Amino acid sequence: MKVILYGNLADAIGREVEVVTVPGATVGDVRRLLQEQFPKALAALARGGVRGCIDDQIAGDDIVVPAGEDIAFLPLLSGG
Amino acid sequence: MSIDARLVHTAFDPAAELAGFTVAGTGAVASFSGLARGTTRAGNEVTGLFLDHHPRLTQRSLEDAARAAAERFALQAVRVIHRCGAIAPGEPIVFVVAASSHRRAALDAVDYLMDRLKTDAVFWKREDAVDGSRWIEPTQADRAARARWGD
Repeated sequence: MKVILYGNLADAIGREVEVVTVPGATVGDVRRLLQEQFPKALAALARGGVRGCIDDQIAGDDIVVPAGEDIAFLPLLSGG
Repeated sequence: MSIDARLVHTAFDPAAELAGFTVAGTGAVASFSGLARGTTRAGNEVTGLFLDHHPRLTQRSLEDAARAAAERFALQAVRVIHRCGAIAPGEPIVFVVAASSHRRAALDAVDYLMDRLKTDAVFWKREDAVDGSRWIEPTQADRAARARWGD
């Protein structure tokens, strides 16, 4: 599964990474997987303002990532 | 009603944008230009800003803000231009302009748009300074300014 990152998460992890997930993995599962694989982003990923995003829609941690879909994680917005 | 929201990846000229913003028969045109500051809040020299953006949600957020301003105020036209990417100190970041039959609507629309963009626009802003880099989040003052509009 492709994971796309923005802001400080992209600085810490990279713009895109591939992670291997089991079928039925949720947004929260992917978040935890990233925290395991990128310990330096652990705190940044755990922040309350970080939201999952699937198909340009905000997706809570309990949402299952559909097969074949990318997922993005959006940090708290800076605004313009 | 003309609504225009543009995300731009290269430098732009607010004066030229203002000169090109013509609305037949209008009575008031108000605008605001925001520039990249040269110092941090602590007073250290800024070497550059980086505005990360989402390929679709950022543009959508600019359009949503412009549309909301158009619906809220009696405007004849509104335009929002916002930079993304690497920006040097002193370069324009944002330009908003609104036209209305009367000054209050045009002035309020610009004020509203800037308050909204400062908190709701889909950007992640990194300030690179001589003392290090930091990702910027809206301040309490930004949030309070946004909240006063009640939407």
